[in-house]
Amino acid sequence: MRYIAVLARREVFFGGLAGLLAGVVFALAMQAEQMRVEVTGLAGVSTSGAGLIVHLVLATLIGAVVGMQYRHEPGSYAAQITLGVTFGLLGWILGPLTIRPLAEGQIPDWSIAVASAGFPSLMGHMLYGALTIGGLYWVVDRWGGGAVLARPSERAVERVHRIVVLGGGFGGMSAAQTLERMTRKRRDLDVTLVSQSNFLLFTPMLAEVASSALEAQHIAAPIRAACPFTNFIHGDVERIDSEQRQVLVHGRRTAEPQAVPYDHLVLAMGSVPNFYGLPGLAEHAITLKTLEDAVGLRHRVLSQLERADHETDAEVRQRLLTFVVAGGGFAGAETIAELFDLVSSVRRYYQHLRPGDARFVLVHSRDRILPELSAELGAYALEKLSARGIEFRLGRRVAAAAEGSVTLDDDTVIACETFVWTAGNQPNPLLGTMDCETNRSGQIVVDATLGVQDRPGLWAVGDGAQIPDLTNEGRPCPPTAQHALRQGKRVALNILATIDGRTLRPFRYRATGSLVGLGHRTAAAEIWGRKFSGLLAWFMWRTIYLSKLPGLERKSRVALDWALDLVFPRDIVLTTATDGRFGSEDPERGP
Amino acid sequence: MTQRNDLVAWLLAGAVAGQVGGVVYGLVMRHLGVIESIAALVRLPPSAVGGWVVHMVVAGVIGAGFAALIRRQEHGAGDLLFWGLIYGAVWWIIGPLTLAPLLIRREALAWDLTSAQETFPMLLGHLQYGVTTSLALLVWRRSAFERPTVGCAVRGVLAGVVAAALTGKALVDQGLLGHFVGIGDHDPSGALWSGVLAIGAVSGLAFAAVVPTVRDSAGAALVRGLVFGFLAWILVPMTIVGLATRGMLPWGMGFAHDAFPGLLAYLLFGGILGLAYQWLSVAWRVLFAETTTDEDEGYGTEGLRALGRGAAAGIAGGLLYTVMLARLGSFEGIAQLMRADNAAVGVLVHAVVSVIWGAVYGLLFRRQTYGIGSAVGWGVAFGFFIWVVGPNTLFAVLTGHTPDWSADSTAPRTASLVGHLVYGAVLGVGFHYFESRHNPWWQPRRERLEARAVQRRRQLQTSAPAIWALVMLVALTLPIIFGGSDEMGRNAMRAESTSSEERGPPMDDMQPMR
Repeated sequence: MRYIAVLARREVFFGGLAGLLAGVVFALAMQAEQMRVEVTGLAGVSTSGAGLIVHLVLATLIGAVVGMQYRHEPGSYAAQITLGVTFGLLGWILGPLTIRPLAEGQIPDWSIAVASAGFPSLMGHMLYGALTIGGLYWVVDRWGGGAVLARPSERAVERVHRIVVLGGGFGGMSAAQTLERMTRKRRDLDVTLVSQSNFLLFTPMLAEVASSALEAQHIAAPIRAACPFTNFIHGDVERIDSEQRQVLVHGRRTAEPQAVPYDHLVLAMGSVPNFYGLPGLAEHAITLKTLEDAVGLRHRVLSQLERADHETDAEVRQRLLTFVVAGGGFAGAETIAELFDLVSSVRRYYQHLRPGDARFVLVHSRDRILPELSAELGAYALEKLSARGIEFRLGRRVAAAAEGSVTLDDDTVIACETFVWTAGNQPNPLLGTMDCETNRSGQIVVDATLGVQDRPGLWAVGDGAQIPDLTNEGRPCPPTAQHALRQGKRVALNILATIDGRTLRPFRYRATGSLVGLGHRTAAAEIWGRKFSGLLAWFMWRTIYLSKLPGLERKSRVALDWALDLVFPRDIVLTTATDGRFGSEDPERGP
Repeated sequence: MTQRNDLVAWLLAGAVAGQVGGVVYGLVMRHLGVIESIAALVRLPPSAVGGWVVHMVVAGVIGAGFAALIRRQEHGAGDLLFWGLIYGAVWWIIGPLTLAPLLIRREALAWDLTSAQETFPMLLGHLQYGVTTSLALLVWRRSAFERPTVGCAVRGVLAGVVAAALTGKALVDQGLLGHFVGIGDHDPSGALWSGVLAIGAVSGLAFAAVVPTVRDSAGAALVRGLVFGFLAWILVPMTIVGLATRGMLPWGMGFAHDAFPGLLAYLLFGGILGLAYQWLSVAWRVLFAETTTDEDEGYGTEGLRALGRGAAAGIAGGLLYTVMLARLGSFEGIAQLMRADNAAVGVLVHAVVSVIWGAVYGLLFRRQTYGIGSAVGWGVAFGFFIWVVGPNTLFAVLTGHTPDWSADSTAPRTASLVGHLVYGAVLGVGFHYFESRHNPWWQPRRERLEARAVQRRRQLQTSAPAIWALVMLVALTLPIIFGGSDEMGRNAMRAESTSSEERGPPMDDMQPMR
């Protein structure tokens, strides 16, 4: 469509006309010149008969191409004529010096002899260029009326399609970026992204922030930089009004919620921790979903070390030095491994701490950790982590948490001050308030094109959506970043297809594999069915995730952090007076 | 003032300015002994008075045309000057090569090379007419004149001295230092060096007066400097020094042919001058000015990105040229850069050099192109500059030889010249493509983007289009005028028409030059 629109511009016609007239003048001049001296003629063709017709057709075509690219600027006649001279000279190189020998089956040599022979033609090309573009300018300026002939992309649009994306995670960001790549070609799209944080958090590296290996800001890419043409609203979604087709957004520290109308709404709000209503968890467990969580966990661990260093009561000391993580998935395994690395690498700063004083416990409800990977790699990870002295409570669940203790479902009580919960997530509760089909865990059910059934204009991606995985017999897609990224792109393309009335395409993606870092220069990975472990997997983990980190600047910073981490000890600076219990400080942050 | 009155005022001013230019050019013509023949334009018998009258009328009319053309452009000193230059060059084609044979000799056009060579003094004269007219117009439009500050002058002199010293070094190695001053072959001495540096300082000062403030990227400054260098070559060695030492204008083809190394030297000098002035100004601004830059993502990100895009575009630019080099069998020669004579090494060296120049282009011309026109314009201009720097200078230096800038040695490098121009054009367009794909800031979508569109418009308002055309014109016509001949062309055509197989390698039939 767009190409037809380009071809149908009046400039193409005007350009062809100007080119034809300039070609006639060019031919006349060459004929006059030929009468006097021997010249190579018009770009290799004779100045009469069939050659002349070829010449004029070429001249018209070139003029039409010039018209296609032409952009009218009132008052720029001198500039346009001069541009014509430049292009004419370039055309002389391309035509008589290059294409003509090629057409005659010779390879051009651009020698001074050929250039000398083509000198009259050089003059003619200059004249042709100046006349074509100058003439085009004159016609457009006189009869075109400038503004009417603006390029299709700059014409006023009849209707603007408002697309609102909720959530700045992998799914939402990827949708916004894909839409943005489209919006620069067309002006009928208006994209708005609403997110609680003004950055895309690179969650696979959260555990390394908690363990002081990476700077917190380095794993966050600012949304405004990544999507410069998208309207960005930093705030919380208060309500989605699907009747009025608008979203009520509560901006940070503003009194009144703001109504954001939409034609297409993408729900990509991800998930929040789920405590399953277990007593004490909401108050005492630390989660690891946000950057604040990771920084808070690091603070908590380091504060416990500070306190334990001069604690005389052995029982209290042991409680301070016990770290419990619930959940043996990727997040749990990486967290416990990284916490172990942090404590063992900074322990020597604390004179009274001995190796083995600290205790690390991982509680997991199944009989093997890392269920996302094969049994073999799960066993490998278990063996590696156990060898470092990390305790495992397999087949056990956390039943309750209290100040200074965690109770398991077999009534074991573990005295600890640091308890990290990675064992449960649930879709954003806001999705439950919407009047559409959700599954048992609260995810919105969408079809393979990522649209909500019978609700045109409503789309969902990421952790908060139940999406059939066409590569896996229609079972729900796993909640991973690599899926969310591709879903975001697909939903953007499907929205555009809907707007343009094209056929939607289903989401289809087969995961390439997964990687889990186990600290201490080991990792486990499964890529395209092949299993990797140890140093090689660790190297793969770092390179692959580094390459996925958005933005060159962030990549450089993280690479630098890692390089320094190889040769320097981890940082133990505590920048706030609290021990990492952010919850009590910030009234806005509820559980 | 209504638009009509405005136009009339411009036309009048242009006519007066054209007469000022006409007086200077008339003196030149009298000097060359052709003023009498002008009377033939209106079928009068040759006479000095008739010639002068006709000449002044024509000069006034052409000056009014100049004013009408550039009325809607920007009128800074530099802009007017460069527009004047291209206007003069175009009138050389319209006048002596087209209208004069039609009107005076009653014959067809004179677009052949011999006529171009014969009327070469006219080209210089027309360029001087353009310069004088534009300067006269500047006096009328003095409100648009930007008064250079002391800082500008200091930077200009400094940049000029540095550029002259570097160019002088290249000339001394060839034993041609005298060409910079315009006194031909001369042994280098303290006095000669002082002269070279003095010319550098004065030219730098003039450059600072003409384009005092830094408006765009370093690449644009380099190209502006290149054209300024061409102007300086015409004014200093070809005119002022010629008149002072010989009492005559050394504008004949013979003199000009011998002065060709000076032309290359001045082009190089101008490019370095523009670049040095720009960098000094930017350093000055960064160190002493309170203003913050409007860089989007900092030099780190943007610079690296430009580097990468330039390198990628450089590969694309080098591809077509690779075919040519293979045809000419030049890869063994290129391999000499690595002290090898193997064609494979040559291909590799060529690829690496293409990438390096592409990366340099990316750094220098970041955010300087707003469409295909400016992409080709800057790209080709850059290609010409690296032809002066690369095959003509650095290649010899790096292979342990002395550069040879004489017209006869430069003429066989036409293939290389055309190759560099094509390389530059593809490089420019490729770089523009990459830049526009990633960061489409010239789409007038938001206010920020509107501002970028205004910049595009503004670039057309400045003398940038004039500079592109001038570079292209200088690059293509001068080496042919100095190195080629119609006879050579006829031989080439005859060889072609008899049999294309019998043609020897193209370099062979070029050796006996002139």
